Amino acid sequence: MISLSRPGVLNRILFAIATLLIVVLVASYGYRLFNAVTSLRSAPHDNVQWTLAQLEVDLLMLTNATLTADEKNGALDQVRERFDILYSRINTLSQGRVFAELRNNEQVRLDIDALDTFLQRYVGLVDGADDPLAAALPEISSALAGLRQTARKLSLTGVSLYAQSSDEHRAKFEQLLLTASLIALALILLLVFTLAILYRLFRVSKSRAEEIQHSSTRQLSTINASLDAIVVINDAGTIIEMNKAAETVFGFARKTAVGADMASLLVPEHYLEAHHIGMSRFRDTGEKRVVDQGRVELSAMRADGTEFPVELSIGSALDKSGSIFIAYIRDISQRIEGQNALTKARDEALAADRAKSDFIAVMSHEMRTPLNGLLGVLDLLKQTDLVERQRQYLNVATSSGEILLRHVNDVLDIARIEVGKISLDSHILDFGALVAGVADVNRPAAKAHGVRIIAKVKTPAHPLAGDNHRLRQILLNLVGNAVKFTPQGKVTIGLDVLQEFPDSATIEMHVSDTGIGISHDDQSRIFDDFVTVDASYNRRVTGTGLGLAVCKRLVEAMDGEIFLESTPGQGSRFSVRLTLPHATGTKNIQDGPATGANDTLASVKKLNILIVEDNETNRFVINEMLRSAGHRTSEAIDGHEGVAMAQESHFDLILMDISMPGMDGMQATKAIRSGNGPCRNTAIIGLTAHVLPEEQLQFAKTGMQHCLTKPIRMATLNALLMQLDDNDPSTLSTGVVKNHLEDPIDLDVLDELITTLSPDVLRATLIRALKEIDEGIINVKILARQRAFDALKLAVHKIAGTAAILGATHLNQQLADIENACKTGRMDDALAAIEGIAESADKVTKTLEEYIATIDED
Amino acid sequence: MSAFSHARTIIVLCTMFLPFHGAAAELAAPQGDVILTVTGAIEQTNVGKTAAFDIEMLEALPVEEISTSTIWTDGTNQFSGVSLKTLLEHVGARGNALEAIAINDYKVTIPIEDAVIDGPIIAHHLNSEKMSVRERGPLWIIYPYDKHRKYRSEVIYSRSIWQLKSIHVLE
Repeated sequence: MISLSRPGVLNRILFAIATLLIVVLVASYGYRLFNAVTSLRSAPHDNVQWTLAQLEVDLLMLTNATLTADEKNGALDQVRERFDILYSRINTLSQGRVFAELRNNEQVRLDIDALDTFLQRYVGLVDGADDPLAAALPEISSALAGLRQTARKLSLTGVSLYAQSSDEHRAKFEQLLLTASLIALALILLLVFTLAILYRLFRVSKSRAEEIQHSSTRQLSTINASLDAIVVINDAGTIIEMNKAAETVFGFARKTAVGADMASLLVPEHYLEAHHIGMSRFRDTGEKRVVDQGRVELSAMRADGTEFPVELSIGSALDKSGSIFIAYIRDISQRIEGQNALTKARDEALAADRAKSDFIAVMSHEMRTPLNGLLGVLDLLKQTDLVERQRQYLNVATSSGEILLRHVNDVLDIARIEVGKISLDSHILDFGALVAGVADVNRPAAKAHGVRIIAKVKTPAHPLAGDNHRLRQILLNLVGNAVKFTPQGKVTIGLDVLQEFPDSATIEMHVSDTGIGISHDDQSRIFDDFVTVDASYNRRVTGTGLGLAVCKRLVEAMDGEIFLESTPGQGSRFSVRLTLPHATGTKNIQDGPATGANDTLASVKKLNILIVEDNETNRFVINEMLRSAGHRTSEAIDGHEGVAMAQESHFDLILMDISMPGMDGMQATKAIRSGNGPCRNTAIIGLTAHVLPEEQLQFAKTGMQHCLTKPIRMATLNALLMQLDDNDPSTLSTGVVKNHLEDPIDLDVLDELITTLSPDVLRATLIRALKEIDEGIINVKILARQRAFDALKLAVHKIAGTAAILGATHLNQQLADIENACKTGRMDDALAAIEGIAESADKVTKTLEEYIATIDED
Repeated sequence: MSAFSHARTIIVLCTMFLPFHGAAAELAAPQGDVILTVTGAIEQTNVGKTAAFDIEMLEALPVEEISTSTIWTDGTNQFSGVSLKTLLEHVGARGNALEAIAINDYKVTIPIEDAVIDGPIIAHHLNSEKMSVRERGPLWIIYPYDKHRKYRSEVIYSRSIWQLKSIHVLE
């Protein structure tokens, strides 16, 4: 194959040289041939032959004239004319250019000389008078006779010489022709070769043209088969080409579109300016904002002027005439329509969902208010004289109400998280207190079916910050579940530090139980909303199935993870992993009032209390609670009335509802604090259905000392009032109110021992304590019988110390009472009490033995 | 034939009545020795049906000069005489060819197409001298051989008749 595209420079030079050589050769031979032909054309050979032949004729004619002159008069003129003719002939022979070659021959020269000599001899006579000429005629005649042979010879020599010369010329010419023929042949061969090459090139280019034709046909069909419109424009914006799809999409015939200005045809009017700016920017700077930038969504215009959305991808290429742009345009009207419909459907669905959530939230909220009233009244009912049966009914009603309240709270939590109303607070966390608090709350329920709660807390090296309230909520949920689904055994609440970082730490809170476990299938859906598993067991436990869903959402809100490991029949373990930052501030919030505290009202100082509450039921319940505890109360039905009453008289405490129509609780508080009435410095406690951390801060700013979350329970209120009694109202706050008098042993105390002592030491300590109690009780009984009151007092005191260490609060209390009775000399009281302590000590011993057994298990 | 002769007579008569018709003037009769006789298809005659010229008559016609070499002479020579074209027009020649005849009875046919401006002349002077018969005179048809290649051919050489004495215009 001949390289067409890049012939070497050397090849080109060689080709040029060869061509030049051939041209020179041909030109030179052409020139020589031309000359030869020209000389042949102008070669006057015939003329020469004629002249030579005529010489003889002219000689004979003169001879004839001389011979006939004798007979006729006046014939001399004839002689003269013939002489002159002969003269001119010989003259021509001796001078003519054409005879020069002939004259080169020696013999010819001699012959011509002889003829010339004749002419010179008689020219005088010929030019002279008639008579001498007539007289000389015979002489001239004879001289001519002598010259006839010479003329003949000259003629023949001429013929032979010219024949020879002609032969030479012919030979030379033949040679020349032969060479020229060879050159011509070579030239023809060269031409044939060139022709062959050209033919080859023609074939190659033809096949290439066909290939290009095929390829362009293929391309054309590809382009025409495209469902997307394809429009090609040059950099002046003129449409060069468009495919069939473009005709369909835009509604233009290809004929009208090609050659037209793309912008005025396809770009909607209000985009024209932007389009022109873009085009001129590209022309000026070469900057491409749309071209070669992938897919862009724009608007385009159809032939009928309607605008429609398109997805556009423009590529650019360099053509021979400059830049061209190839635009692939897809009509995405339907897609956009679909998208819009989808978006609309989604928005509608979201709106419906939000409406549902809002409805649930409102419903829950609305349910809580009457529920609060119900629970408050039940609390009050407990204070009245009831027969045992009534008390049992009341307990059922109370616990049912509490369960219902918890469910409502769960639903409300979910609703709040759903609408993104959850916000996290950040305080220094006391994990020990947190876990202990949770354990305390769940212990009564656990104890009811023989489940023990064990806490194992490892404190991180550096205090961490987090939302105490939410962590507590998570733990309460997990522990509550564990207790519910553990018929017997124990629930362990643990906190481990997994990893310490320079400014944070990853902790794991886990709650494990020895309960019924969760089947593998249920494990995956346990965190979904409204999921309750194990229908057969469900009869015994209650729940909305929202607890874990709330936990998961809270954990995720804290960027944490929650895991479940469970083996059916052996138990479950829930773990929450959180990475919490190191606490930097000093802000510390204490736990809210704990539920599960003693419901009975302790004797506190009687106070003068103002209740500001717009809800009649709530007002009635709170009023009754306080009155039954012996406090004096006044009521205000809204903020204005509250402020007015606070202005009139002094109160020891004001309970202030936060949300009230007209003037709300915060405004009322501000008004009281900023006024100069007698209640200016009175403690004000806010009452609210829900407290968010930032709200709490706001309440504090307005001058409230504390905030109680509805429903207001007797125990909570009582605890708060006791604090108020002990402390200066201005520093009022609530703390965990612990009261485990009913328990034989406060397991919290024991659990604390576990975290501080090694199991072996603990075990030894407990066994020793057990022995001391057993022996001490026997000793006390003996001493009582002996009425050795001093010794008894000492023995009781000793057992009391041991009991305190073990957390046997109830026993401790009983022993303290005996000790007091001994001190005050109430011997009968002391002896009577001793009968009771044996039972208590038995319980403690039994519990301790169980506890030691669990240590052994661990 | 008689009809043809009759027509010719009429033409001759017409020309006689229109003395200044055409380029040619009325042809005067030769005073000296006749050195050229033109016969045949001509319109101007002075001696019978021929146009006879003496040297003065020829010299009176417009003179043209040709400076050229010839194959019969040595070197470049200056010939002067009357253009063949002028002469033919002068005699009102209407033929296709000329039959030129020399004193030595050489005869050659010259096509009328040869008679062009800057073409052949009937030379009567060589280098400003009258030509004798010995010098191939007194009249010699000379083509401008050096001027153009077409005049350097055997045919042209053969038409270059010297010692010219008569021209017969062939129809």
